[in-house]
Amino acid sequence: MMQDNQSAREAGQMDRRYYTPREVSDLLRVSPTTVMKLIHEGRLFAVRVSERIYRVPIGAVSRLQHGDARTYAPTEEVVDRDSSIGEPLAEDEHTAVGA
Amino acid sequence: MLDLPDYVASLAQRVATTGADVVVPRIEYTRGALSAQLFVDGELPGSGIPRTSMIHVVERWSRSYLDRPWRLDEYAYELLDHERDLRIAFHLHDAEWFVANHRVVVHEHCERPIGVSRCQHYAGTPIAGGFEALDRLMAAWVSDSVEDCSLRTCL
Repeated sequence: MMQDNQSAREAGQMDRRYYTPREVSDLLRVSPTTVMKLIHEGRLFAVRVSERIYRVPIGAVSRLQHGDARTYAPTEEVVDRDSSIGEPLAEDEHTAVGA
Repeated sequence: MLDLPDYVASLAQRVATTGADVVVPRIEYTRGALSAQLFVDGELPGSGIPRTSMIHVVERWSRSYLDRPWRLDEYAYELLDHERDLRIAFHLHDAEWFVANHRVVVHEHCERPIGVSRCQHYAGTPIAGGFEALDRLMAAWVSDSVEDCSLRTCL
């Protein structure tokens, strides 16, 4: 098994990190229609892989099951610095700007 | 008109629905509240070995006057997937420089292993905002295979 995992990793294949909506419906004991409703309402996170295929991160199902009553109001502060958010460009790249 | 704190709270809530533990988001205002940078970080679920994987959202917004709408000027969206040793980032910054040198406004980063890249900047596609970025980063997270950075177009 260990060798299988290693081979899979070398081939770029990894442990699955998602459920299908059908699997979620089995886990939550609700209908697939309800799962899709939860997804469309934004209560259950899902990645839309194609027109009819969704992937639900495993953690998203846990979050839904355990609920999340928290609010995420940001802290707000005034600061002095006001710089670009990007990574520093190489010195020669900066030189090229003026070229 | 976009209310920045509401937007940040909604985005952080959305990150939380992925199962991530969201660090308290924050907004930093500069230039008399005519410019703002927002930060939303999420710790993705996993063993934490070797390290906890992260999603980082940084956006820089500006407005011409206090009663004018905010405009998204720059962004940096990032997935640090330590289990797969993969970093993916979508960037919009230093637009004039990138247009002058690469004829693009946005670019992307792809590193596997993290910290190692055969290309400094990859071609990318513009992203409308944090929600779309989250979808794209999570698509990489739930992918069955690890992204092959070498398939990308180097600028």
